[in-house]
Amino acid sequence: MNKKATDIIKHLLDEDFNYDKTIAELDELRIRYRQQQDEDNANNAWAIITIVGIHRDFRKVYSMLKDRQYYDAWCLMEQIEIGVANLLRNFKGVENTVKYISVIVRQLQSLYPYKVFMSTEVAIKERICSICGKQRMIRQHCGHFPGHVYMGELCSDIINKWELKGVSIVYNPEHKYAVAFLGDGKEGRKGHYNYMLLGGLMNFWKDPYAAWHYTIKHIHKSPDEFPGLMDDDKCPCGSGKKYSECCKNDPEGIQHVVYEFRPGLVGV
Amino acid sequence: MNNLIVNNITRSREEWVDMLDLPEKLETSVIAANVLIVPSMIPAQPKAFVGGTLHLFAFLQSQLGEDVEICIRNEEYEELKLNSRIVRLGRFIVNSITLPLFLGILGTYIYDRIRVPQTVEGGDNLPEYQQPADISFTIAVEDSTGKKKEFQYEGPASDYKAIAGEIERLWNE
Repeated sequence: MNKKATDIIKHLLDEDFNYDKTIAELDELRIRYRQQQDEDNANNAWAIITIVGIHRDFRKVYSMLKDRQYYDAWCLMEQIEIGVANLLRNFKGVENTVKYISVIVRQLQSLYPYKVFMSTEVAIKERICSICGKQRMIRQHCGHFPGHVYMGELCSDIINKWELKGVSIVYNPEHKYAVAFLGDGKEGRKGHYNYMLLGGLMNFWKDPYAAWHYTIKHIHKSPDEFPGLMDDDKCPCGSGKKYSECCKNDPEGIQHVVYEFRPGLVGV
Repeated sequence: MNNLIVNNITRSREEWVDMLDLPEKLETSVIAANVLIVPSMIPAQPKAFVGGTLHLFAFLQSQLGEDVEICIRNEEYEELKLNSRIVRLGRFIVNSITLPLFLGILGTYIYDRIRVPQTVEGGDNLPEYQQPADISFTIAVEDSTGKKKEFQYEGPASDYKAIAGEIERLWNE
């Protein structure tokens, strides 16, 4: 297993690497190890499948961003984040195999315009363990903990009975996919967000494995650069306030944020 | 220390037993436990516990054995998973002798729960959902002389080690 894993990781970034085929082959191995009760190898197979899956999904995110499927890319990035967290919780030594992706995903997320999210409050009434199928009771725990890998399987709670207690709007959600969208009354979601920063990045980012980072500069612009700007107009700084109640009163001018994209990573 | 609140008044074990109308056998166990998990005092859900308590209880039992108990009948146990990414750990009553050990075990559990690796520098420019994860908990400490102090914390998980040290220092002063 270790030799196979090393070989896979060596070729993981190759342009013609077949992620799905590799995952299918590894899964056969994982199932065989499970049948043999070989927990170490079954868990190692799970780890390599997870690493390959993370790289496959990262390439998909890149393609989605190229195709301007911003929300779909956002959701897949959350899956990558969860995958990385589960991987490192169980296999701390493999951080280098996913570190680049982890950093780029976080940088990409920070360029999204999403700020508020919907979040549920749920009373959990009944659940079972995904590993052994036993019902979870407060004084009868099976010993399997969510987020940990047992015999090549990731443990989670399967909720059978629950009750929705409320829905809140939050800035720091448990589930990032729950982005607050305006409804259009028909399809239920209206693309009202401005993805200008991501669009700008994708003009510059030519390969998913070409590292980049950005810096932010806060500058001021003269009102002369915004001809026709009236007091009742929305302030060009993006605060959402009227110009007369915002940067008009700033002697330095209108606040402006400049994102500069550069090759390479910082702090890694 | 920021975000750490110290109270000298806290609900006693006996008050919890009365409120939850516990059977005698469980009452004995609740009174004797060195670490007791009590309901999380969520508004409108007085008997509920925060999400994850079932696993935290099992984890504490795996480390402390019968020294740990939870203050609820089996059939009344209910968890409420609240919104936002803050890791809510709930409320505990801890015997002072067990406090250092308990704080260490809780630290291990927190490290395991926080799922997002902190790998990107960004400071104030990062959106709120990328800020370092927060945790919250309330620990009431008591000893055999009747001394009681309650410590409430809500803030960055990364400060936990310092907060744990501060709780021990404040208890001992």
